[in-house]
Amino acid sequence: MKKNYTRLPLDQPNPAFKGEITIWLPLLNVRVGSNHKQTPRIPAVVDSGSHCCIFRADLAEYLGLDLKKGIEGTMGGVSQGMKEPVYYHRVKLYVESDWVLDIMAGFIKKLSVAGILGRNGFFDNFKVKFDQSLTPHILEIERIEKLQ
Amino acid sequence: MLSSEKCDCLLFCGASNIYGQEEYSPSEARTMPQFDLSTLLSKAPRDCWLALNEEQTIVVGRGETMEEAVKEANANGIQDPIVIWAPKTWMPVVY
Repeated sequence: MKKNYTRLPLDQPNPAFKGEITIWLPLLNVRVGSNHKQTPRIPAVVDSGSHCCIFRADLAEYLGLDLKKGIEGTMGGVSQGMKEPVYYHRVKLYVESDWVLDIMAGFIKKLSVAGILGRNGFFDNFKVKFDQSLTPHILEIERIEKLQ
Repeated sequence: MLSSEKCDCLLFCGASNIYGQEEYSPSEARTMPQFDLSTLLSKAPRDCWLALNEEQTIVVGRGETMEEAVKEANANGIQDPIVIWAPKTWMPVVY
């Protein structure tokens, strides 16, 4: 499946990059499911820098999950100093209406996007290609068929 | 509800160069339409959940929770909205 990047606003022009006032992100629409309930579709960032799939804690609340009954961990960002508790739950991930994955996902209260698709859970299930040589940039994913 | 004022027009429609969603079949290579949400979201409320229509051209609901945003979208005739988190500030982020 190929999908163009999505363009989002920037409140302050970026002086380092020709004053750009928008940003292109590789987003996929996904749903998260648990206990026979699914969230609405949310745009999630495809991010190889994230070790797993992470979602805002609001999604756990929407699904009726008891957030703090998940496996507790701590997550830091690229900026040192900020650490946040994360709670891992096993959920179903519905990717662009085409694929359903059974994954362990982290839920965190402070997240600036609805969701992030990281290495554990997403990149280990898809071959992912980012092509930023064209405008708009293109994201391509291909499901990895695993032997049973 | 949000403490900030609620838009009285409900629907924020700022984008014009967005293409409609195309039909597709599973496991088939395809090119999806391009979504430019920059204008729409720059004018939309912040620090809340926003529900968008299928074409992602109109904000059809908002709320402090996903439920509120979806409920408002449903009331506006959109049964299966795309729900996005709008941060206080749109800025480059390393996730």
